[in-house]
Amino acid sequence: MSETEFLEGNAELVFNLALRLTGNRADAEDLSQDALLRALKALPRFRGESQVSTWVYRITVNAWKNRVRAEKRRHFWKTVTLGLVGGDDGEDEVRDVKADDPPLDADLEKEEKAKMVQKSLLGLDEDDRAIVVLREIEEKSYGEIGAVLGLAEGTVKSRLFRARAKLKTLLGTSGMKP
Amino acid sequence: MNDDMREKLSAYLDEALSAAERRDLESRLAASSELRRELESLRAVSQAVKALPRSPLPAGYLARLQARRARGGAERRDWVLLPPSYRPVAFALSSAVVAIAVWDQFDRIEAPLDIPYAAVKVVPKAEAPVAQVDLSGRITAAGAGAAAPLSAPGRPMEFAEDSSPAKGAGAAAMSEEEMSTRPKSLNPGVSTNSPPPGKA
Repeated sequence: MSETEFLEGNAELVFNLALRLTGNRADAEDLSQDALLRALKALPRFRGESQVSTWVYRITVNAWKNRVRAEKRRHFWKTVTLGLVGGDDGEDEVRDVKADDPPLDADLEKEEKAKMVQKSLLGLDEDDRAIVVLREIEEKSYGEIGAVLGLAEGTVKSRLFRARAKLKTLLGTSGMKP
Repeated sequence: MNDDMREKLSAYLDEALSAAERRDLESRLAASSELRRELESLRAVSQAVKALPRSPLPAGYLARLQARRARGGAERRDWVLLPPSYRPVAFALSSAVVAIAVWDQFDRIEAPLDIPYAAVKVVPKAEAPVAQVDLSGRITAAGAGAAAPLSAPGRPMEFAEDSSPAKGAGAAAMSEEEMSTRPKSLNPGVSTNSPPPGKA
């Protein structure tokens, strides 16, 4: 598979996955480009043992989880150092959506319902969010989701149920009755 | 309704139940309105997420991707303190520093100085027994009998308190005159006033 074919077939998929995972377009572009460049670098070594989309989804999800972990560590150390000098005003919480970034769907997705759903998705923890997005939006099977996240099918099944239940609660509290 | 049943409802939505499980669940659904309501609420959640619109790639996305690739900025830095490849070295160095610090602390522990007084008894010079050296070379304590040792088990060793310059010469020292009159066999390595043979 040539690089051009790879990008034509996967760039939009990866961008949309990143969009739902991060919740904003700027981070989605940065994350998806990072994942695609990593994938292009590794493409000559891709042995075709799984679908290309499963492989590139896995790269994307891992890159995103690394970012979330790095952001949490950054936030932790910032809190610790600011706490030592008494300067932590609590305004620098870890967030998925940058304050200066226009909220997702503000320009392209006007519907209030879509915003609420996206906001509720951001209320799930990383693995649960990835499971829901891969299942509901990317329509991956339990086995494929397990391959992307490195989880057993049974684990995917039970975590998907818990994530849906939590999402139902989050949608309820945001004023939308599922 | 327990979580196991709810989990089955979730899997039912995804058509991930076996044929037997699906038949069993469908018969339960037919009999329970509560189960049906739960299924519908899970289906609504699922459909709400599915309804999120797909977004086309932003304008200029692929051009920016290629530009980023040309810059060599393929990978964003995800680590905070150290790149992963440096971490084992950093761990080894920090462990060594900690080990040295701990060792240094142990090395500073001094020998105890609070030795019980009874272990070493200092007696005034006036009361100090005078040791004697008999002609056989044995040192004996005065007044303790000819063969009595200076110290016995359970008895603290006694030292005479003496600050005079002659301390150490003591009563055990013999005068030069006495030494010269002793047989040579009793004074090994002690020179006498007479010169060695051949040098006279």
